[in-house]
Amino acid sequence: MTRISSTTDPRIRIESVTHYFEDPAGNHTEASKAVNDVSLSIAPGEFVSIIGPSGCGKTTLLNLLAGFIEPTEGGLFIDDDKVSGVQSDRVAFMFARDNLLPWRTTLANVMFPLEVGRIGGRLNSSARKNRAESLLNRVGLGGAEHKYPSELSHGMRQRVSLARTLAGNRDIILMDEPFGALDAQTRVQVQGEFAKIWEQDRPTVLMVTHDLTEAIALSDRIVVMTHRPAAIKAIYEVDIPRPRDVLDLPSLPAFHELYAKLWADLRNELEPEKELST
Amino acid sequence: MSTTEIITTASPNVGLNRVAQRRRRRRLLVTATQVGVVVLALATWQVGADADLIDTFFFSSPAQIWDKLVHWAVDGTLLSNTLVTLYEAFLGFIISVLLAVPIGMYIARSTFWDAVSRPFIDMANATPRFALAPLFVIMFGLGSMMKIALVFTVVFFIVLINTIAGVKAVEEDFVRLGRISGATRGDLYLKVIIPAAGGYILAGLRLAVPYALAGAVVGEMLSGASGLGYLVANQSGLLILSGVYAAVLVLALLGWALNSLVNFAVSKTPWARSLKNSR
Repeated sequence: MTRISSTTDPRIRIESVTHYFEDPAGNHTEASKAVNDVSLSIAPGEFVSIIGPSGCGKTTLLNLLAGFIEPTEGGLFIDDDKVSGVQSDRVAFMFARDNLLPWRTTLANVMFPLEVGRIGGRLNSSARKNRAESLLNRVGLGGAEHKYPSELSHGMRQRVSLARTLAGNRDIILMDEPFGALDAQTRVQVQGEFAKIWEQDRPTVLMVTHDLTEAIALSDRIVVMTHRPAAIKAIYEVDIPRPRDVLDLPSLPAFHELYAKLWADLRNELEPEKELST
Repeated sequence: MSTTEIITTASPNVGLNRVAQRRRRRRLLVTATQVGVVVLALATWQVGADADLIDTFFFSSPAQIWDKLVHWAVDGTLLSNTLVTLYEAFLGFIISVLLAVPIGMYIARSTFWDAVSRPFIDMANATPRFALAPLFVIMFGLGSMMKIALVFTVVFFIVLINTIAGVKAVEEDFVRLGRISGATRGDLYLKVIIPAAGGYILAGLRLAVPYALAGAVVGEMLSGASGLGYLVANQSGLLILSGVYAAVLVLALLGWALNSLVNFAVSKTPWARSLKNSR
């Protein structure tokens, strides 16, 4: 993995991005507005989380950065290059739920980005296999190489998904509620494993989550979004030294203080949504 | 190794054996009952025919049908006509699949062509294609070509519609995973879309097999002088109904054999196993 020298240049720059989805008639209306004038810079090796009411447009922001969709207004930049088209050379994407391919074994799932990607195309098949095996060991799944996703627990599947996300060796990782589907116990475990990997590799991460504890445990900064259309409501620095232990966090006053602020911000955003639905 | 370990490793095996044994016995019982039902039905039919309780002019008898089959087998009628029907059904089926699968994939991935083609496909599928048979006789003559065309019109739309449905059901996140991993267009189809839609496409193929056979038979009944469908029409024209029953019996066995063959082929595809597990 390429180490990024400490520079003030941001790795990711989002500039006044507004995004509308087309309604069935093909028009842009206020109701189809998903993202509203968002600007955000992320430094190399920084871990930023986005929290906000569900359905507010957080995932849209990730999809814009990955290049899956183009913004209606404004621009997104990675290393000062304008994002245009799918950013397969720069970005790894960890999907909500595990998104494992059910017809592939664990090993073949992790090898997938190596088989189709440009980086992987340069590896021969035994090198791909070695890399996938070492990644599976890294996420604690050595020995499960030949199992199919349907034979794995949710926690194991999410670990395979993590190994696959790391396989392409990208140093920008976009994560869409990666641990949301896990039960509380497994979630804490997988979060801990991911934190360890992040501290070793230091990729730049932008993660969407609805779990405040997770956001505090993993992030350098937390961005709170408003209800739809998503705009930035507040940004908080997480002033808790690393390495952090998810289980120890509740004993820290700094954690409680931040949690209370985040929750107060979020609660204000949930109420207008209620009014709309009644 | 301690004794407790021996017990824990040995006892599940004993349990498994007992389960396997019970399952085997059960399977044997099912087969025996099936054979019994067939024997009983044939015996009743034959006894009824011998006792003049059943009119053998209309309903023939197992012995008469058997005689007919033996006669045909000996003089080569059976094999040559079966091969003709198989050839027409098979060729029509293969041509349909080779065209319908790629076209279906293209339509499903293109919002424009999907919208354009939908009414045409719906209308074509709603048309009873066997009604086109007389037209094909005029267009293609009395030979195999006419039957293959008929098989094609029937099978093509079945496979096309299943392929479109299958490709549309592919989760968009699978496609996005492919794209963010740097997959080329070819990779996207070969490694994501085809395996993900495989279950639907294979189900369409399974569904289409009896229709391919039916298409060939209907064609043969209408024109030409070969194939099992021709035998059915010819024998009924001569009022030899034991010949009709014999030909239909061969068709039934043929359809069953083809179905088993396709099921076997499907079970050998690389993703059959995982698809079964995931659904």
